[in-house]
Amino acid sequence: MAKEHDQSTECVKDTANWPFRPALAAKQMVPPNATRSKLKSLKKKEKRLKRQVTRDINNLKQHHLKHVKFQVDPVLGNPSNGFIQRVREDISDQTNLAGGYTREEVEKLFYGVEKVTLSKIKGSNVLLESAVEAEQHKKTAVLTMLNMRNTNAKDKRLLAINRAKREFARVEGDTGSPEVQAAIMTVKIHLGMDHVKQFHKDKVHLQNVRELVQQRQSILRYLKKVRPEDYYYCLEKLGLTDDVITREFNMGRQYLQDYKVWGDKQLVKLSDKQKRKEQKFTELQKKVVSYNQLARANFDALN
Amino acid sequence: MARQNFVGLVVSQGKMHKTVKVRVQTKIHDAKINKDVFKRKDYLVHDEGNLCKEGDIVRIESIPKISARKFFAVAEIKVDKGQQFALYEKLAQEKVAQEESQLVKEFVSRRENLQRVITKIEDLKALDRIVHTAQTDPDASREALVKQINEIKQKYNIDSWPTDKPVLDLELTSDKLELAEMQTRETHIHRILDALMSDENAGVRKEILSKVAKKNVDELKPGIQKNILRKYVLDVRNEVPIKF
Repeated sequence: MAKEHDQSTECVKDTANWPFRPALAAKQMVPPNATRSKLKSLKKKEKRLKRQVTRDINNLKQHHLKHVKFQVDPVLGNPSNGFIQRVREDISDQTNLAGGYTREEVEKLFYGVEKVTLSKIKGSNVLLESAVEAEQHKKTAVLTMLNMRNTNAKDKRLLAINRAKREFARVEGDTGSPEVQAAIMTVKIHLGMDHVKQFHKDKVHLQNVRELVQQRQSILRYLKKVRPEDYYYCLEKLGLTDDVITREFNMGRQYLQDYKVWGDKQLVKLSDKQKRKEQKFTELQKKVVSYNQLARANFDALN
Repeated sequence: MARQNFVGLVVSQGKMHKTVKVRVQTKIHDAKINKDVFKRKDYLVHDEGNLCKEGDIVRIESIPKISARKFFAVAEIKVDKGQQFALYEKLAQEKVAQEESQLVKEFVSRRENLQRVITKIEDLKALDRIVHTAQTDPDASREALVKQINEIKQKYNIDSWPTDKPVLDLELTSDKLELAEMQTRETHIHRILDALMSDENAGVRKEILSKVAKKNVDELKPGIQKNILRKYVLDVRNEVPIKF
């Protein structure tokens, strides 16, 4: 369905650059031995068909103008966004430690501990070696506990939020400007959507994400009003676009179906009337495609 | 006679060639409720250069009718808000692309720093081991061991081993040092400020103030200058330019 839709949009857009008008589809080829009455009827037919073609094409144009798609995913934004990639790297990076510890400090501390323990031991090499081994064992145990793979979701989220604060702060230590708030919400939305994708029955979580999306939209709308330059910078960095913020959006079942959050699941059931409308639209698309083909063929035949 | 003129907001652009939709708001008196109410009307307006952007405020002027719904043309752009937004968007893209490369560099440098710390610790451990063998093993060749020890010492600028000076700077110790510095500055703040406000240090004072103050230095009253200097001195990240 989506593919077909794109195809027909292209048909409408491309026509501007074509050397012929789509109305050429109505052209009637007059046979050389045509009688006067035949000629007259052909002319009449051509006039009628031309009107039909123009009407259909304009109707399709109107439809596309009315149903403009968002430029990017209104919840997750641009999938190749740098900021989100960095956040995900932070979470999966093995050199980052949980609980706000840094790897360097842990290494240094364990060096100190080892040195103190060894200085207390006076005796054979065997004792020293066993002490070194014990210290090594301790260090591995602590690093395993603090590894990002073994920590909880809350800790991972905190790490991601800290990155958002660092990257978007106006000055060092800024945690409340609209940019930072929007960045934190974006992080929460992305991590929340991971959960929603996995557990489709967790309605509460879905609702929380939905509220975050609305909140982000409203705070960015405010930012646009007060500091437009920062607003566009923030949008670009978060992988969003202006239409996602300024247009109306509800993260409802239609969104979940369109953006395939749970795969190809049908979530919105169309009524008979809506189905008929859809059918009419697909037929119109097919018609316009055929008009364009016919017009091209006629153009080639005439030239 | 002057042509008909309106000022309105561009609400739609880019859908029709050389045409924009402009919303004009006028106040009219409603006789039924005996009150002034706002009335809006949208006009299709000719925009020859395709200059307008959504959000611009423009003055439109009536022209001879050029199509079924077009009988106005853009006379001037009064507030180019929409164009400014488009410019901001472009600037933001460039800025973010620039920052991305900077962030990649930071990431690499952080990795390198970690690796440096780890190798330093390994070297220090090796140093301990060598010293230990030199002390306990009578068969080992002294020269080779001394050479190894000197190499490591030179690499990290260590005078003697074992040493009582800190070889690795921990976050904990740096915090402690910072706190101590803060306390000494706070106790000596009067002396520092008096010295800074004296005529001898006028050059230094001006240099600091021109860096920190938002206003021109000559416009600042002495009391305000002193306050700014106090804030500057009490911040540990800044260096105090005079001895105290």
